[in-house]
Formats: sequence, structure tokens, C-alpha cells
Amino acid sequence: MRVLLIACLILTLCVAGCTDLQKNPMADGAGLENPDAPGQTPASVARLVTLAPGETEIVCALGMGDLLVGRSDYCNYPPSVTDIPSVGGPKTVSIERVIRLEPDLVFATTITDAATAEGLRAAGLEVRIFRLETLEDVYRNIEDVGELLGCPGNASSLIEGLRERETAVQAATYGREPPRAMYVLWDDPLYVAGSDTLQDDLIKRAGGINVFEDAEGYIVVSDEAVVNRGPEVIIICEAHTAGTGDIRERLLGKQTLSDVPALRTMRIYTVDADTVNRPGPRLIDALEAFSACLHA
Amino acid sequence: MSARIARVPLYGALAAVLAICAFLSICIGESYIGLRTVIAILLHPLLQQDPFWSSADETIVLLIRLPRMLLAALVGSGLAVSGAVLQSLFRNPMADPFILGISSGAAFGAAAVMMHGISFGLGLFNLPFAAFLCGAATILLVYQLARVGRRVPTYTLLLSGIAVSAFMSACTSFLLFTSQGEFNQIIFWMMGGFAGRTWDHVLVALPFTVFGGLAFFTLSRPLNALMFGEESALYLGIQVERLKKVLLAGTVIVTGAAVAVSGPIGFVGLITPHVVRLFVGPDHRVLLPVSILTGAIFLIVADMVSRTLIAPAELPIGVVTALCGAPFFLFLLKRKRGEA
Repeated sequence: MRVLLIACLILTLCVAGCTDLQKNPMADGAGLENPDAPGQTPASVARLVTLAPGETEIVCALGMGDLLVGRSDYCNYPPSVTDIPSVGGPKTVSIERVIRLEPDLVFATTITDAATAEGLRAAGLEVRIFRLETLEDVYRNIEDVGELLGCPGNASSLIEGLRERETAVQAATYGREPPRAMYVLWDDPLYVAGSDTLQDDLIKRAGGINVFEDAEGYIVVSDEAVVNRGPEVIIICEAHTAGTGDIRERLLGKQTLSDVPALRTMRIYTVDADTVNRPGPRLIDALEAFSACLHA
Repeated sequence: MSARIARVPLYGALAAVLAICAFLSICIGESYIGLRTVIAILLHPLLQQDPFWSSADETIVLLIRLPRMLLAALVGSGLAVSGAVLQSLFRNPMADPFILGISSGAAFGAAAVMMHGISFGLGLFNLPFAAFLCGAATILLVYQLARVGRRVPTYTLLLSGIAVSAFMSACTSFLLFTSQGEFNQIIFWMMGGFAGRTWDHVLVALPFTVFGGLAFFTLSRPLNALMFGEESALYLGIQVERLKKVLLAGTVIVTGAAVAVSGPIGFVGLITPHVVRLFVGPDHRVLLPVSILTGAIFLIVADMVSRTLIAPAELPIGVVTALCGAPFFLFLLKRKRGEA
């Protein structure tokens, strides 16, 4: 029926729209190689294209930024990468533009359209697909990238540094009562992180409990569910692109939520969307930010 | 008039079903609040009983569930009555606010406002105003395109409606895809639904829906005459072209208000009048009020399903209306055909 078609279209739009936040529904499906299996490696990589900001940040953190000849629209960190030509958004990659850059290797992720990855492979390009769902994935991706780009030493020292910071976060909050927290992506309607999300992982590792851990993925919830679960801490992601006002202010002004402990006690914090939503080295920054919010 | 049912018992029964569904939807939700508590909270303004409930319970019942139920009722009745009027107006069972482009026009208006932060200085009424404006502009365009000389044949109207509707939807998609900024708001709004709606939304929808519904009701007799064909209606002394304009304007206002507060919700405007017609026949003096009641019941129940089925997450209500509405409608159609 019409309505279902419309619903499907909108769901597609939704996935396309929130690429940085949404998991690819095809992630576990056929047509993708096992992201964990190390494939053939080009002898030496001189021209690299990445299709995701997290991978770009990993490459640059390993000191291999000079190899980059193409990036996605969303890659804006470190700032120097904005000088590199873009091949489109994560969901709207132009296969032609990638081919014209003549890369030896393309980094894609489980968020990238499976069709895009297939198209690039069909054109004879080497494509590596990285999984990005948890902090552990980030460590593994750094290791793999180090391997692929011939700088495993840089990779292990980067990982070591990040792990130290993660351990420090956990040590600092060890034994404390875990606060009940909620991660909000949007306020009208309330769109929050359930289990199996990067932010759920961050809340847990930072010593908190996600009040919506019984639901999977990112979900729309009613105001009632929030009142009922009474989170003690609310963490909001603040996108640089937001042009529609301040989510924090709007939540604080919502009469329906006035009984929620986090809003009564003003334990409502904003964190930078780019660090929280991107599975790159800066995810540890996000973890530290989460810990600061949860245990403030 | 095939199935004639005595009016008073029919209205009584429907009102009772509506009341029960409305009450149930206030009682059911993620948090368990006992029946006695719900009733006590609802009656508190009257009885001034000492509160034995928490303030969270009161918030949930009075500020979350009650306005949400009322909004579902308003939107459901508005869409259903608009659908009934449009189907009669065009004597076409496929006519509904979507087909004629009113919904997609309204959606485009709302999308443009949300995306670019255009303000008409109307506060709360900003969004509905934009929805009316674009809905009205769209239907005007459709009407002009469909006009052949001084008359507007139904089939050209439907054809141009479908074409313009597709065009407006494409414009909305284009806005979405090319927007650099925040499009969460519009994506959620386009999915339709009542999550997070408050009394403000009820206040926006209320005047237009009530006014529109009453206006349609007073036009029941001319609408009946129109059913015999435009020419016959003309001979009966009805200014057909003017009536058409008034009815179209009315549906734009009612649909615009509904779309502005809830996003586009499909199926209600199309299916409800058909189901009602199967039971009460085509007399608009009965058809319109019964469509209003049935539309309200349908959306209240659909909203209940949408927020409980996969709780704590909410299902988009359009999915519920289509999944429940379509099979039920086909079942009725099949059974009635069997009887005939």
C-alpha cells in the first residue's frame, strides 16, 4: 500500500539521514566480507581514500594523513583533511569520483552502502570494510589500519595510550554507585540510544546504567517512558550543524518531564557529537566526557 | 441507502466505544498506574480529593496521556471527515487528502518551515499556517490544472492531483537530501505520530477540526444532492462550483491542521469513510458524524498499539494504521460483497 511505501521511503531517508548515528541494516547481511578477516594487502599503499570520518581520524592519528587523496563529506578532523577532495557523503559516495582518484586502497565501514562497496570492488579497487559498533572495534580497527599501512608500531603505541586512558576512567569510578543515564539524540520526539549502540557502550564503560538498555538500537520513546524510568543523568549530543535550537533548553522547559531526576537536579549535559558518534581515536575523549557527566 | 440503522442507538453505541477506548488509552502505558489512581487524578479538579498519588503519576496522566489521546481523536476525526467529503465530492472511492495533494503540499510547507526556520510571527501556529498555505496553494494548482473551461471534471482533478502530489513529495525529499543541517525534526515529523505531543498541539488542532467538522455537517444536504451527479445537483438549485470550492477549502483547513500537529498519517482518511459507508449508507447527515466518531476511535486505538507493541520504543503510527486498517477493510469488503 501507499502508506507502507511512504513508510519504507521515510525509513530509507532516515537511515540515509542519520548515517553517523545509524547502524547499517545490511551490516550483518550477505555481500560484505567478514570485516574481521585480514584480506590481501597491497604491497604498499600510496593513495588512500576513506569513506568514513572515524577511519580518516585513525589514519591521521597514525601519522599517515599524507596518504589520503580522498575523504567523505563528513571527514573534518583533523582540520587539515578538509583540503583533501571529498567523494560524497557516507551514503552518497560517488563511485566515479573514487575511481578517478586512482586509490590503491579504499576504507569503507559497515555503515557504507553495501552497493557502494560492491561497485568499487567491481571497478577493480581494493576495499576494506571496518566494523564500528563498540570501543573494542575501534582498537581492532586501529590495529588493522596500522597493519595495512605498514606502521604497526604507531598503531600499538596509539592503542596503548588509549587503553591507558580507558583504564584510568574505569579506575576513577571503580566501586561507585552506577548512575542511571539516558543518551538523547533528539528531543521532539525523544530519540534515545538503546543497547547495541556506541553510546550504550560508552555509558557502561564510564560506569553508568543505560535506562533504555532493554531496547535495541536507537529508538523513539514517549515522554512517559522517560518519566517512568527516571534517569539521573541525561547526556545530549550537540551537533555542529544544529540549526533548530538547543535540545538542552527545550528538555529543561518541557513540563511533562519536570519530575525526571536528571532535570530536577540539572544533571543534563551536552557532549560534542563528532567525538561521541565517531568510532575513531577520539572516542576515548567521549568516554572521558561521559565519565565526567555521569560522576559529576 | 442500503443499510439503514436507527440513528440514536448507533450514535450511542459509537460514543460508548469512543469513551471506552479513550479511557483505556489513558490507563495504558509504559508505567503502571492503577485504575483507581487514574480516575482519582482525572476527577481531582472536581472532587479536590487529597492526592494519594505521586506527582509523576499526575504528570503522566494529565500532561502526557490525556493530551495525546485527545490529539489522536482530533486528528483521526479530521482526516476521516475530510476523506468522506472528498470521496463524495469527486464521487471517487480513491479520493483522500493524499491523492489530491493536500497532504503532500502541507508536508512540504511544514518541511520548508522546519528546515529554514521561516517564521510568520505566529508562534505555535507557525507550522499549521505554513501547512495550510502550501496545502491550499497545492490544491489551487491542482484545481487550475484540472479545469476544462469553466468546469472541473473529476477525472482530470484526480489525475492532476496525483501528479502534483508526487511532485510535492519529490520537493520535500529534495529539501531533505540537500539540507546540510539538522533534519531530525523533519524526518520524525514525516513519519507521523503523537510521541511527545502536548496540550499546545491539542490547542492548535482543536479550533480548525471542530469548525471544519461543523461546517461539513451543515453542508450534508448539498453533499447528498451532489451524489446524484453535478448536473442533477445544479437542477436542484445548488451552486455546484461554489460548493466544490467551499468543501475543498474546508478539507484543506482540517487536513492542514491535522498534518501540522501529527505529521502525515495515511489510511485514516481513505479507509474510515468506506467502512462507515458499508454500515450506514451514503446519507451524509449520518455518514459525516459517524466518520468523525469512527476516525477518532481508529486513531486512538492505533496510537495505543503504536506505543505499547514494542515498548519502550514507539512504532510509527502510519505502519499501525496500514497494518490494522487494510486487512480489516478488505475483510469487511469481502463479507459485504458475499451478502449482496
